[in-house]
Amino acid sequence: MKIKKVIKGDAITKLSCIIMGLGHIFRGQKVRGIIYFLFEVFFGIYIAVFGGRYLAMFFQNFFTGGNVGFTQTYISSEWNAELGEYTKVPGDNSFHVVLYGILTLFVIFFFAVVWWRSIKESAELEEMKIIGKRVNLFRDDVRNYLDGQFHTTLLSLPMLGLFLFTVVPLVTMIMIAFTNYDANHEVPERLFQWVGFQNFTDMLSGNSSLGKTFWRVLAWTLGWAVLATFTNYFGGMLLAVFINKKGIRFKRGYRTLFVATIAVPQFVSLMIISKMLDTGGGMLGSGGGIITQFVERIFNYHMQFGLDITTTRIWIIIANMWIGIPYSMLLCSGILMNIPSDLYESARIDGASPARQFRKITLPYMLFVTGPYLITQFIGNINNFNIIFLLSGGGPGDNIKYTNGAKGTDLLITWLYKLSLGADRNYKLASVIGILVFVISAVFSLVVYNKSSAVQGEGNFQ
Amino acid sequence: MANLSLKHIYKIYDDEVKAVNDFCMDIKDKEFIVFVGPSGCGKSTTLRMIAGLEEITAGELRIDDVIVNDLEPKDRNIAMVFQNYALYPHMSVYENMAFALKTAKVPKNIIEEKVKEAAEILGITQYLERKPKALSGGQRQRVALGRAIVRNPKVFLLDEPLSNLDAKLRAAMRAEISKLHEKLQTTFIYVTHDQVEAMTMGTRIVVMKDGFVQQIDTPKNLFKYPVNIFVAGFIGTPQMNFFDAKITKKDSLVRFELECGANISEEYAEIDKIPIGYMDGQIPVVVGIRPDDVKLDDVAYNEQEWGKADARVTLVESLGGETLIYADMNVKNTSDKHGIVVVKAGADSEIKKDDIIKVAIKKSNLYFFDKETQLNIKPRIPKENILDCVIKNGRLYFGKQELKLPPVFENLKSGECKIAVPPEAVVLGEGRAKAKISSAEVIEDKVLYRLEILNNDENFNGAPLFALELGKQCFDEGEKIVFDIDFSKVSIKEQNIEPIEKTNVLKCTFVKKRGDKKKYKFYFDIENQLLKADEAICEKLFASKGTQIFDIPLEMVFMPDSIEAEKYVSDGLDSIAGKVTDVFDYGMKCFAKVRVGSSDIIIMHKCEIGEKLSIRFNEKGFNVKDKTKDIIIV
Amino acid sequence: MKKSKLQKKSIAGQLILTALAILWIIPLIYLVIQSFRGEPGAWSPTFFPQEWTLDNYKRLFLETNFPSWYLNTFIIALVSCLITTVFVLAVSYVFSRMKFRARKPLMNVMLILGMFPGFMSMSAVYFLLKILLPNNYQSMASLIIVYSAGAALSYYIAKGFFDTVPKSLDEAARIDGASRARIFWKIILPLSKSIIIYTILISFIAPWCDFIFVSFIMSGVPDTSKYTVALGMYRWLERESIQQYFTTFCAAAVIVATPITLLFMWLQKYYVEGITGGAVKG
Repeated sequence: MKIKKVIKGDAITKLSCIIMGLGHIFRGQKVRGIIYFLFEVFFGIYIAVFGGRYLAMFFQNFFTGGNVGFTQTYISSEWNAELGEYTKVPGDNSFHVVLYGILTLFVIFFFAVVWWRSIKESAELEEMKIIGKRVNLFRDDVRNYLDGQFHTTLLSLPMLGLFLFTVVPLVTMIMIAFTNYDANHEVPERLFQWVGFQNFTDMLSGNSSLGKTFWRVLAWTLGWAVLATFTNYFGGMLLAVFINKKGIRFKRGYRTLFVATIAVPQFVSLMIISKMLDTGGGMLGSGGGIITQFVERIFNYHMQFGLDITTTRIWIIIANMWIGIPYSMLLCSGILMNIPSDLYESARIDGASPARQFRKITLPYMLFVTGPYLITQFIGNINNFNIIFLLSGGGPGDNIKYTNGAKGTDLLITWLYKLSLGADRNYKLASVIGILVFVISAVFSLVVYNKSSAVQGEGNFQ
Repeated sequence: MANLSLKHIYKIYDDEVKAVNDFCMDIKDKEFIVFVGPSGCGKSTTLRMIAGLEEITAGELRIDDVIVNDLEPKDRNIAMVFQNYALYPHMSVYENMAFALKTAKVPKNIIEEKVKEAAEILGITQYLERKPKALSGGQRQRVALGRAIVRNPKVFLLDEPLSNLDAKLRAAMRAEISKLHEKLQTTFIYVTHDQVEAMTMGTRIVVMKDGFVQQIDTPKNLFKYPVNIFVAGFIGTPQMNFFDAKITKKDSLVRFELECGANISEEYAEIDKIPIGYMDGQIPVVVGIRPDDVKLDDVAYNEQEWGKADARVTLVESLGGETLIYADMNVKNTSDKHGIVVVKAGADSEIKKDDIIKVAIKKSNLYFFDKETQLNIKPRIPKENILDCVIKNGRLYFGKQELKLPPVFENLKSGECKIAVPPEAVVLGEGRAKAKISSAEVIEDKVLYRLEILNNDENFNGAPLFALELGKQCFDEGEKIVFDIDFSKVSIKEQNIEPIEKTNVLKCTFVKKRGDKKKYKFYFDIENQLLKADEAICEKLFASKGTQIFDIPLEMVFMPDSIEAEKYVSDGLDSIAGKVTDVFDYGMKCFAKVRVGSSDIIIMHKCEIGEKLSIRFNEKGFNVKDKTKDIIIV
Repeated sequence: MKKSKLQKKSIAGQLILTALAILWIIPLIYLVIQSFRGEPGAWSPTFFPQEWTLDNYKRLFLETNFPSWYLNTFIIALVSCLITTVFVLAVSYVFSRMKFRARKPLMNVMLILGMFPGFMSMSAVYFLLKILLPNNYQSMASLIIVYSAGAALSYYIAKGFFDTVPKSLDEAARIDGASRARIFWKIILPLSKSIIIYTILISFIAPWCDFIFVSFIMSGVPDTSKYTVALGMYRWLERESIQQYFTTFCAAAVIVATPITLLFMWLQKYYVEGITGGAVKG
């Protein structure tokens, strides 16, 4: 429909497709037209001197596999006396190619949107002139951006931030998963290559040591997320029910005490707990953290935190309860107070025991109300970097079962961290893991969300 | 200080749900209009469209003759009071009332003056420094009113302003708002679901249901002449009693046989506005009786104009001042249907449950509805007269009175039939049939005459003939006159004859063409023929659709008599050409079926088959419809 | 008889609660006590030290980079919480109140973005910062950008709050002639004290607790005075330095945790309102 208007339009409208803003300038929207025009000019310059080249490098081997970038750094035969080595002639930086390629693609998309909008406006302006309607002046536009278009004003900066520092980097890193960017192909010295789905097949195959490691880490990540979410949630709920019980004194006091543990920065509390659990040298009688010493003195047993995988995992879950239960207690108390008291009254009249009341009223109500919270908690736990990294650092390792830098208590996210910061700088695998974490989170939320909304739709509660 | 005009206003959500349909109304200055209806009927949506909070999907809204469809709320010069008051909780009463003026950058001293003045009118001067939280419901409502008053708006919009108040306060505030209306002398539009509020406050009431306007009328007329069962049941407390019934007529006596077993008899002459077709006991009807028209005293019970029935009391509700008695007229269990009637009795009534009571029903105040269509079948102005007649030799006989049939009816079969004649099709003072005027009633700018056709023989059913004439009353009761019938408006079922006048629809689009001097001209493209659109119409189209008008399919909608035609000379931009395919000569009027492109239209014009015509549209004679949304835009 | 049963039960409950409370508070008490420990080394065999001292604190301020870490973190927290709060409020107001075509798609895209691990894109962010701040990419400015640029993604809770503010207030204000900007500024914001405080609180605390981003951005920076508290203190507890710095770490932890804990306890009410509101809203 709109295209027809442009085709049917006069010369100025048609020219506006090439010279953006021309129609605006001729039909009374000078400032807007100039802004459009300048936008086009800047876009042209950007593509000509910068974006175009990177885009070409980005796509040259994209579908076939091969170098990302044209030229590699090489060492020329000229001797640099100052540095005491042969001069390095810089080549292309593959990572920059991906990053700027993505950026340029986004810029082109953005330009296309703006361009389309400008010609639509141009055709519209022509008709407005024809039917004699007043067109908005720049003044009106400004006023409009504080009123009807206020959302554009409010969103512009936050979205720019989001775009530059979340979207572009994220898409770049997603693309890295299709390259072989690692310590052997470190930029800027070397180019890396497009490799298609190679990394994914490596990671997901069950035969290679990498694949085996991945499935082990994934199993622990999911197991951890389930355990951590449920222990915290039910622990917190029980604690909240306990504190809010009739006849318990110093409610406020208890609550404050528990809340204090949330308020202390996590890295402080986690690190101190980690050190309390430390085994020192690892042998009986070698000292270590206060808890280790305490256990040793009383039970004559040397704890294996950080030495034995299972023990470490159990302690991590216990420590996580210490961290998380007060938090969900706080949340649950808030919701508990909102449960309509007539539900309990009628249950009491029916002669239901407190346990039954909890099962039949409190629990369903809480699950009903906090469904979305549980999803976010689960996903939060999949990505719970702090607790693993600061408590155990991912250790202890096991050279047979775990390779590529992963260790026995590593989650996918801590493994990702180690891969991108560790010695072998394995960015490609880090990106693959990131994508897989996303897939897991997305699938999980979709499934649970659909399930829970179906339940809500049926109105099971009450 | 403003007239409002709402023309074919629609609200459509998501291209599907029609919340308001074809709302048309003219509101005069200083009126107090009440929109009333059950929740979800579209009344609030209409109000919000007037306010500018809701976009008008289609139609034209004018305030003081300015189209305001695209204006922001603030530019419409209206004020609105919300159901939940919508006071700004963080501002004091003073700041609440001053907010609008501050926004408009009114000088401080004037703001203070205006706020003080409004506060005085509403009696809230002592609360000016308080926060809304510290006020009672009634006080908050006053502040909300005050916030509206200070702006000195042309139109006051009130959206269920009293529904959050308790019953006592509501009655007090009701009176106060009425007083405020008198004092401010502005147009008020008030939305409520409470018919008592509507009846007590409104100068005119708009009853709505499911997005459709049911009736727009004064409280008195709504009560007396409801258009359908819905309005009848909605207006008045306690609610009207409804009974399924059948009507039978024997000679001049008509019996209303209620399905619950009770019967009421009435002289035919008293209720002859009910079409006679309903009186053969075949069509189910609903009889409505207002509780106020039912009495329990013996005097009434024995009088002529009161119908009589026995009823068994099923429930007694004492309201203190009066007693409501629910009684079932199905006393003898002759039917399996119940017929509960609600009767008002005095406070000291000693009637108990299961008592058998004698009820008297005021016959002249009965209401009758068609059970299927729900419409009032005894309206103020009858829709049509249904007369027994005989067709013979090109003539129509009512008993002994005769009328000449027009040429188009020349080939009608002879024999008895029933003819339906709308009152406006009866032409007084012309023709050969004679009648006597038995009564005349002035209704607004029209006069409704009731004629009795003279010299009846036994074959004639004796139904009266109602005639509606515009203008002043020019015939007196008892006067004998001649009459004729405009046959283009009648229908005769037995012979498949329908009124010829119908709405014509022509598909078209709106196009622009560049003329000389680079000036554009605008045309309707009707079946590939161009018709020049005059400036006033263009303006209206642009106002309601903007530049979109060029993209959407349109329809031209017009009546046969609203366009002109003449012999075709040549193609012109001010007319479209068509070919006559059929002609209908009704004597008084002639019609022709004309083919324009691929569609047929009916026009009022005398011509011959095969003739070519030029058809002109005069400015007011047609509507333009947006076909995508099925909405009339001009 | 019934009463005594109830009393017995509540005494048992009281005991259990007290035990739990002690369990929960012990690590914190241990931390405080250790910060006053006189004897050196990472491990002390007893819960209470043999020798009490303030030396750890003295050392903290006189011999280490802790004061500058503290200052860095404070500045970063302040600026990023300002930006974050503005971003979050703006975005959530828009999504709660304005009608426009891109609203739903935008919210969906943001939901999807939120499901990627935030850390995943760090390498690319690092390069981007290198380009944008070529001489200064391992600095406070970088950290501020990292902490606040993506703030729009966490609009959810504030939007839930705005949704509870009656829409008729906006409408009344529109009829009163106020523009959207004025409505936001004069009507909605003054009514949103609790959510503003919540957002400020959360975004102020985040930089104090973050380890992962700062360790990435600052990786390979030899000048430790540029660190934030989390990173600096983490370094103290690495194998090589723990024997030397453990008690200093405890002292630093006390200094960091005290104001944050107090702030948190003081504004607890708003925090609870925020999380319950956010969790309950479906």
